[in-house]
Amino acid sequence: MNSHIGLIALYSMRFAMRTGGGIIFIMVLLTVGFSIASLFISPVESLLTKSGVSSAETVAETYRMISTSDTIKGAVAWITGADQAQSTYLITEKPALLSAILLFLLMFIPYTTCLGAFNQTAGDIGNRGFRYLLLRTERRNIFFGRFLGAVSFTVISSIFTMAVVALYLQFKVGIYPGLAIWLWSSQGLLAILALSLPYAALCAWFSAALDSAFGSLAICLLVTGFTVLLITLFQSVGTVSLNMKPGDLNWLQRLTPWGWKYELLSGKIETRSLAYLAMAGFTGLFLWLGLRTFEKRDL
Amino acid sequence: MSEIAVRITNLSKKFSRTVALDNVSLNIPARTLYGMLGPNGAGKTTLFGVAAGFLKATAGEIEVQGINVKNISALRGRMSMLPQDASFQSGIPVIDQLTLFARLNGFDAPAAAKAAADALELVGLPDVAKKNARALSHGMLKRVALCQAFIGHAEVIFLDEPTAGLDPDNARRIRELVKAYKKDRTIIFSSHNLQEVQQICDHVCILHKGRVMECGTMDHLTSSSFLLRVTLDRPLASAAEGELSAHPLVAGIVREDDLSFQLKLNLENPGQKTDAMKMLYEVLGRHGLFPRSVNEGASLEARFLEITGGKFDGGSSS
Repeated sequence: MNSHIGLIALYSMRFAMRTGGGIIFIMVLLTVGFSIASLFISPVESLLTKSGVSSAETVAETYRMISTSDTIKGAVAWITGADQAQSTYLITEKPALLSAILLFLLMFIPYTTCLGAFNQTAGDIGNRGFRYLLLRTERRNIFFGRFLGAVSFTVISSIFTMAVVALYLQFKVGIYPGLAIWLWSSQGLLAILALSLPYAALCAWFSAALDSAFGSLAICLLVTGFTVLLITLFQSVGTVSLNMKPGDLNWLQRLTPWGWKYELLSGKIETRSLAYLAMAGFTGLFLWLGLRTFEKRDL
Repeated sequence: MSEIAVRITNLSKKFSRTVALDNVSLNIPARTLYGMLGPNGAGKTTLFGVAAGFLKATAGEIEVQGINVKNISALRGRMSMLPQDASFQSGIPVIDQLTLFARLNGFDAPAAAKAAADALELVGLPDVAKKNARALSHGMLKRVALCQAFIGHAEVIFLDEPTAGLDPDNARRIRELVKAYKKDRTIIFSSHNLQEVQQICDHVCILHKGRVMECGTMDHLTSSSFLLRVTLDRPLASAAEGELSAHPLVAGIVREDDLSFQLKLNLENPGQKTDAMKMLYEVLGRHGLFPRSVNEGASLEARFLEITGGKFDGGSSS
């Protein structure tokens, strides 16, 4: 790696920590992560303490019975848009509780990533804070250094969140084998990181195009949220007005990273690989657009 | 080293419909202290911004030490600048930011820390090393900004209005620092203070409305527009005026009131200034006139205003 990129990433992280922005982002990500985890773990803990069930094995069996019910399978299939086999994979072959946490986390990751990555360059473009750097290094080093700095925050926060959740599930809840928890947590962590990359790159692009950190935040969140909303709306309208079968317009979802997110947890290696490739593709595309913008504009 | 430190070729820069630089071509000789003058909006800061890579040129090129500034990595450490409106990060101590700049200049970590500390020492601010940039006064920030330009051993240094907004003592300190740094470097110095430029620069270029109006050595520019402002004890007789006007060193006479007039001189070199003064006293003496005061015009200022369409209204006492 170019040493300038590393240096700029390091200093941007230090700057974010000292000015509070980085700490706020870490707190937001941890709060979201732990809230989602708590949403699913608390009922199981209640079951453990209130139902008089004596052993974790019995609780695990009870939980397995609940989670493998047709209702739960249907709910998972509806959320993920996956087939029955994938739903079964998520709730029977893998620790179901962790799967549920991961599915919800993946829904929030695009937004939390925007909160951490919106101000990669916009604020400093606005206050001309890059000028001393521009005298000494290429624009691409600044652009990629800032991107790396923003992604590093997501990586650190995500690792911490998943580690705490896995430890809690293993030692406090104790209804799944430790190895299964850690393997599935690691895969989930990879999925989270893979999903956060294109959104961090999207933020890098918007941030390079704007002079205002607030403007960048607003655009990043709006584009992330409204794209999903618009595509869903278009799908619904298309299905009704064009007499299409539900699912015929699902390919529209694939035009954004959002549409690939649950396939990062797929049981089929080829589906999973394709999803990772899609994330890499989106990341590359957004970074290229961002770099092009950053290289051509006045700073 | 090339004898031309900075070569600017057909440089243009537009901000939507505003033309900030209009086909500027200019060669800045190596190892000179080069004054860049122009009224507000002349294009000085834009020119510096394009040279540093902050701004993208609409057309044309700038080469520093024979290297196109688009390839800033190749110039790393060889060119530096005091930009007019750059800002430091507000959450990080000054010394850490200077250390980062030194590291980007190619220093390893210990050498960068030392270079940063030395640079602060150079501008007399070692005490602010651990301070946040937000806690510094305007004058201190300016000096810290100046010291980042002196990190390492840049061969070409651009200083965009380094003394603007500073108190006289700080401005003097910066002028002395610049003069001390001049030795084997090329320094391009922009300022609105014409006396300051005349005092320290050996070359000068006047920009107006994005165009180069005149460039050359300071002597060349000032000797062609030298003037004396004279106040007499009684009105200038027409015979005396005729005699003065006819003298080869005199370019013209402008009467200001009954007792005062400006004598515009056309000198081939500054050495003729004494000859002109001697001639003035002789002519006035022959006509029984006694000068109550003779003020030497700030000749650069006069030339500057002549070029930019302003009005000269004063000078320094001789």
